[in-house]
Order: sequence, then C-alpha cells, then structure tokens
Amino acid sequence: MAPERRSPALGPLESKIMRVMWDSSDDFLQVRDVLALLGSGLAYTTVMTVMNRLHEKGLLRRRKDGRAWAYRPALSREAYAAATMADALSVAGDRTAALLHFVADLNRQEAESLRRLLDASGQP
Amino acid sequence: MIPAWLLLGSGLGALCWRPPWLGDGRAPRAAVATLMAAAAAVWVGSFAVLVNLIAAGADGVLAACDALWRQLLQGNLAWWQTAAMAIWAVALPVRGSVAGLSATRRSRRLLRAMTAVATGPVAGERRALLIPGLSTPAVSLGITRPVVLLDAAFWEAAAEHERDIVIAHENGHRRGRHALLDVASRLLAGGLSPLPGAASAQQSIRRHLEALADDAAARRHDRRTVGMVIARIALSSKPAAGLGAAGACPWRVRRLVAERARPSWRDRLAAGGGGLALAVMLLVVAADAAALLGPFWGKFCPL
Repeated sequence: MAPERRSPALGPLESKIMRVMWDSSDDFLQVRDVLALLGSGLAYTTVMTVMNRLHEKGLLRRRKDGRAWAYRPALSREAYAAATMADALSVAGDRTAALLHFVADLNRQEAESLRRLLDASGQP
Repeated sequence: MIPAWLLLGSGLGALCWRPPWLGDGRAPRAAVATLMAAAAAVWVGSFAVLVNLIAAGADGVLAACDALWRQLLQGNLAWWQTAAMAIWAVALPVRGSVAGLSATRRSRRLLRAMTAVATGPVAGERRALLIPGLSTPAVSLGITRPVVLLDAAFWEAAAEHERDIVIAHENGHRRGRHALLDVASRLLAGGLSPLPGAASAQQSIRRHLEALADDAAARRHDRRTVGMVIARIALSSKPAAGLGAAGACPWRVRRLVAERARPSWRDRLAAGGGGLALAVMLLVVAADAAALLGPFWGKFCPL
C-alpha cells in the first residue's frame, strides 16, 4: 500500500517565505523578488536554498524565467491549512492531537442529542 | 512505607472510581485538580513502593533512594532489582515523556504552519489570528504562548454574540494555560495507560478543560446562550465539522442549558475527604523526603 502523503512541515524561514508567496497572489516570483519582499538581511543563496527545498517538498511550483527559476505556490493557503489540520488530527488515532477545539465533530447520536436539546430550548 | 502504599492505593482508587460529581461537570476545576493529583499520586506512590521494596530496611523513601543509587553505581544491584527499576522507568517516565513530548512537538509544528497561513490578526484581540480553511471554527494552539486561531469563513459569517462567545471560550483556554495542563495530563496518563481508568481520566480532564473554557464564556454571556451557540455551531456545516473528536459537545451543551446542579453534601464530603487524604499523603511523602534531605544532601551522590 502506498504511504499516505502528509502535509509537509515548515521551518521558521520556510514559513516566512510561504507567507510572502501566498500574499503575492498567483504571480511567479524570482528569488530576488522574495528577498526584497522579505526585507530582512538574508543572503540571496539562503533564500534560494530554502525555496528550492520548498519546491522539493511540493509547496512551490517553478518554471524557468530567463536564466533564473521563478516560483509560485503549488497549493492555496486554504488547501495547505486544511491538509495540515487534517494531518494533525489524524495522528496515530489520536484525532484531538493536543488541540483545544471550540467544537468537535459529531456522530449521528450526538447530533441528534444536540438537536433535541435545541428543540427543547425553543431555539431555531 | 505505609504512606507510599496508601498514596499508591488512593491514587489508583481515585483514577478507577470517580464519584458522580467528578464526571458531570458540576465542579470542573476540582475534577481536573483531583484527577491530576491522583495520577501524580500513582507515579510517586509506585516509585516509593518500588524503592522501599528494593532497598528493604531503609528509613524513608529518600534513604531508600540513596541506598539504591549507591548500589546501582557500585554495581551491587541484583538482576531482579535492576529489572524492576528498568520496568518502572520504561513504563512510567519514558512512556509518559514520549506522550508529552510528541504532543508538544506536534503543537509547535502545527502552530508554525498555521502562522504562515494566517491572513491577519483579529481586530481588538491579542494573539488571535484568522486562518482561511482552518476546518474547525476555532482552536487554541501553542503550549507556552498559546494563540487563538479562527476560521476566516466562520468569522465572516458569525453574528457578533457568536464571535464574542467563541473568543471568550478560546481566551479561557489561553488564560487558563489549558494546553499546558493538557500536556501534563498526557505525560501523567501516558505512563499509566495500561491501568484501568487512566485513559478515561485523561479524557475526563480534557472534557473538564472545555467546561472551564465554557464557564469563562458564560461569565460574559448567559449560560444558556453559550450552550445554544455551541450547539448551533457544532451542527452547522461551515466550516466543515468533522475534524475534532472530543465528542463532548452534547455533554457541554447539556451542562450549560440545564439547570445548574449543585453538589450534594455527600458529594462534598466525598470530594473533601478524598482530596484531603491525597493531600495529606503527598505531604507525608514530601515531609519524609524533606526531613531526610538535610543530612543526606552532602553525601547523596557519591560521585
């Protein structure tokens, strides 16, 4: 059986770069553009290495733009957030995974029980 | 020796048998404290019993530890003594630490990923972020510096009082350091998982942490309104419900909507008596250690 694909984890710099990429809508960005948007004193090669790693993780798509690579997010913020949450909540059968939720999922009996409580309280 | 057995017995007793008031959310803070103390009592009690059995004749737990430590360093422990210590260490501290550390690591990893995805902070709220596609309306993440994450679509669609209740609930978790308590309960219960009652005690702690957060929201709004909002959000399809599994929603709504039951005098007596017995035994073991700590401090470690 093929191993289940998991949403890749992000390091601190990877997180910053992904945020820049998502904020830049659907444009392809070169490393120097990302470096300018990051605005910190990072080396060009550092950002290039991290973006290459993000591409290998499947989070960035790339194409040749002249002599350099240009990158764009391979999946949207929403898709990444949903996949990461789904991963975290399905770890080793422990679906709560150290999260304190406002509401949890309901099985049929629980949903029915809640509807009865709402009906008894006269709420829509 | 007797306090160690008593401590172990009472810890196991409190884990395996819980009076009704401890399970129905009437006193969530007392329930969390009692269950955590019971788990801690089993840890300390089992260690003290084991050490006393191995170093028979030693006067007190610390003296027994000292004797055992010296024998261990000098290689004078019998195989069964070493095996007993190793089994205890693997069964409780190692398994507990693995459970606690994995929860911490998972939470940090998730928080980093979610922070990267966040579209911005929630206006007027400290440490609250909007996340597109969070898949659950709201969640607290992070152990030492918790952050409240809110689903952007839910936040957009929610009414003002719903937003207020959700934020108050999550701030209840954040201010109460519930994530830290949750990790501590995982650590304590992780080591005790083969024991009957340990898993259900941990679930009960989680459920009562939710109840405490609900009570925090109920301090700003009517209890019934809080219950109705929880029920409506749990039953709604946006965001996609189906990613948690605490299964405590009906219980939480019932305790908020129903007339508030107060503990009877029997409940209070059982709670007070049980808590007092646990506290006295923990104190006896602590006093035993403290009394022996002075004379032993200089020569405790022979290295």
